[in-house]
Amino acid sequence: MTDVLLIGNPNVGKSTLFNSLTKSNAHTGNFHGVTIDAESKVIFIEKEEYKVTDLPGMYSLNSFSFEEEVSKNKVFELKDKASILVIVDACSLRKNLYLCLQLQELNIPFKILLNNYKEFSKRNKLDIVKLEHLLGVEIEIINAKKIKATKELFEIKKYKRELPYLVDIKQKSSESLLKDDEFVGLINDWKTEVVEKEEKIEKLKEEIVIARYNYIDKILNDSLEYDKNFIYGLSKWDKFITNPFVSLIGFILMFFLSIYFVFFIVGAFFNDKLVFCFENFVSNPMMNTLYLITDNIWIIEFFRQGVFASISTILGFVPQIALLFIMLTMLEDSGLISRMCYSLDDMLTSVGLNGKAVYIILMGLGCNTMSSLISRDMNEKNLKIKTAILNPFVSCSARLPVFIIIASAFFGQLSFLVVSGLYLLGLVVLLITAYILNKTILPTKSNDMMLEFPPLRFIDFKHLLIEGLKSIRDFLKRITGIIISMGIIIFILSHTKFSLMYTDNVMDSILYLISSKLTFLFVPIGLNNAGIVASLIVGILAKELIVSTFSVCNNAIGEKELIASLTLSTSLICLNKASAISFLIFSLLYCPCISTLGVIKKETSSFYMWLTIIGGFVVAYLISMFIYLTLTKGIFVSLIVGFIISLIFVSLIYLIKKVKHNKCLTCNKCKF
Amino acid sequence: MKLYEAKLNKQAKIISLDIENFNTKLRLMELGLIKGQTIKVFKKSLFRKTLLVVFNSACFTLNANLAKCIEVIYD
Repeated sequence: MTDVLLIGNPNVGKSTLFNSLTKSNAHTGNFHGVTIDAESKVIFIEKEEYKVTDLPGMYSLNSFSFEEEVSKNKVFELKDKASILVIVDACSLRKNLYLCLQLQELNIPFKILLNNYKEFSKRNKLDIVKLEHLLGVEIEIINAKKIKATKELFEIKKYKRELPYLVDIKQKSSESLLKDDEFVGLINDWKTEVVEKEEKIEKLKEEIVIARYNYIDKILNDSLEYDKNFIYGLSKWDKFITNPFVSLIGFILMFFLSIYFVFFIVGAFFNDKLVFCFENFVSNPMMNTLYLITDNIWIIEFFRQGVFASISTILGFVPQIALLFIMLTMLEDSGLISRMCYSLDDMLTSVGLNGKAVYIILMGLGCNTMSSLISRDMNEKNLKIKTAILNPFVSCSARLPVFIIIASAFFGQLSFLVVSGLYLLGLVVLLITAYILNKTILPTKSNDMMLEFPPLRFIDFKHLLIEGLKSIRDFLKRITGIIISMGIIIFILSHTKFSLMYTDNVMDSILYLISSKLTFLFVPIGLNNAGIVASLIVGILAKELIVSTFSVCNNAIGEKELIASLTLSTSLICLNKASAISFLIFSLLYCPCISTLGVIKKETSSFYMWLTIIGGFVVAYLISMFIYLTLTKGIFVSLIVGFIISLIFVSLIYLIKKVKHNKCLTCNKCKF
Repeated sequence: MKLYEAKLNKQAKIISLDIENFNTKLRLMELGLIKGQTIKVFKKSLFRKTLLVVFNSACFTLNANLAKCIEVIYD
């Protein structure tokens, strides 16, 4: 089997090429750092096996972040046996050739695939044969979207090309008293660290970079006629879009309008149709067949409530969730996310995050698990931990059904404002918590941010459709996997007595009795209902389960029936306006789902995973209690409670700072 | 003159990079931010701390931490 590695600068089209070669659907986007880990697929060409690997983008072999480290390690691991294809964006040739030169210095055989050549050739003229000769590397023009895998594409011709500047550098390195192996280490990945010669080495490293760029300029002068005023990534629209006021107003408007249209207009339209189809063509015929086959109440009720009721309630939200992902894909593909990162960097820096967090927050709107994983893109440890553990405050798509059902049940026409308010509350809590963490246990040491601006692009509708279908597929996988399996467990627990006998009355069930033991904890926030407590507990496994627990407990099939049941005092789970708001806030902010916790543990440590769980519960509890008390007992009582809580909180922060300060006095290394 | 003091859309030449963290300095140099090269501030953010700068035929976002370490002079 031959290994094929796709490497190159970020956002040059590596994943697009990977998708074309392997006919896959790897996530692509017009943003720096979309691919965060290596992704491989085996393909066959004329009975020969090729393992194509898409690697995260890297500017050079001097890895600066976790993804670049992954790519670099893979290149060094397979440099002697793999076909290395370097994808180069023709429009930013100078910057892209830097990595090529590094590979050439190490005599690693590779081929340059020149992508985006059509756009480049509108303004520039490149003599490819001459460039091939000067670089000593084969160059092939490709269109990453349309190329097909061939044997010829993966064949690498080996050239031997001496790079003239290397002789000078070697001379200088021996003047700096570096041994030969230290020099190779320096060229390889900058890892030569000879402490006594540190200053000389740093100077040498700088000289190597300058020598490489001088050589690139020399070969481009010989082979390229180019428009010197052309700036890749900027368009005439950018003057307008990046205007601070326009971007701020634009983003706020976009936020509210998209929630309104996606969730309440377009989504609701498809929602009804989908539920109608499911009930008439799937659940009803299957239930009718089941009635003919058996009269066992366990089996009938299990399918009616445990399976079809849960699926029908959740399935209705597929259009909204697909539209949410399509919207995020639109933002990513158009290049607007980088503009948002730039515009919001100021604000985020002041709370100890930086502009890159915008991408992570936006991805969190889709799935918290995925966005916690992307936090590894942050190149400072505390910054990475903060983004990973705070990101669950962003409301993910799985919480959307809970919000829409409860908001529709209690706030009618105002439900749009309630849902928007919840999204905003999540963001505000994230920013405040980031600020507190920055001032206490996780101060950001280096907030440096440099982010390349991708060009604004028209939206590719085919890609949108693919991403939309992918989100539907993933969501259906979840509801057929977790929801059905957990639905079975919830159904059994909610319809079985402690004597293991079937019961129609959920109040006699194991689930209700266990939950009722914990209910006293939730009385101060207005959730004195065992069914609600049960739904919050199972919500830790997956947030979609909150709604399916509602359906099972209230014996309601479909969204409309469930909405109606929530306001009835005879239902097991019934709320009033104040407790509904309290529940919405609590479910927004409390512990993230188990898969997100797993990622947080993997990316940070067990301590931060527990901090996320406990911190989430505390924050959710305090805010819900404050709002609930304001709505029921009046602002005066809630202010007194709020004052006492703040006092405890401030004392706690002071205590943490004091402990840390004492530690610092003893270690004498840091200023606190 | 520090980069954040530079006027908008006026081309300047990079004089030095006084960045404490050598890895960050090296990364900026690898992106093309090298002494003698030209740089242009395209936009400043709402609080004028984050800059949108153009160098090496591409556009980059640089935050205040970095912008204050880059010294430039007008051509």
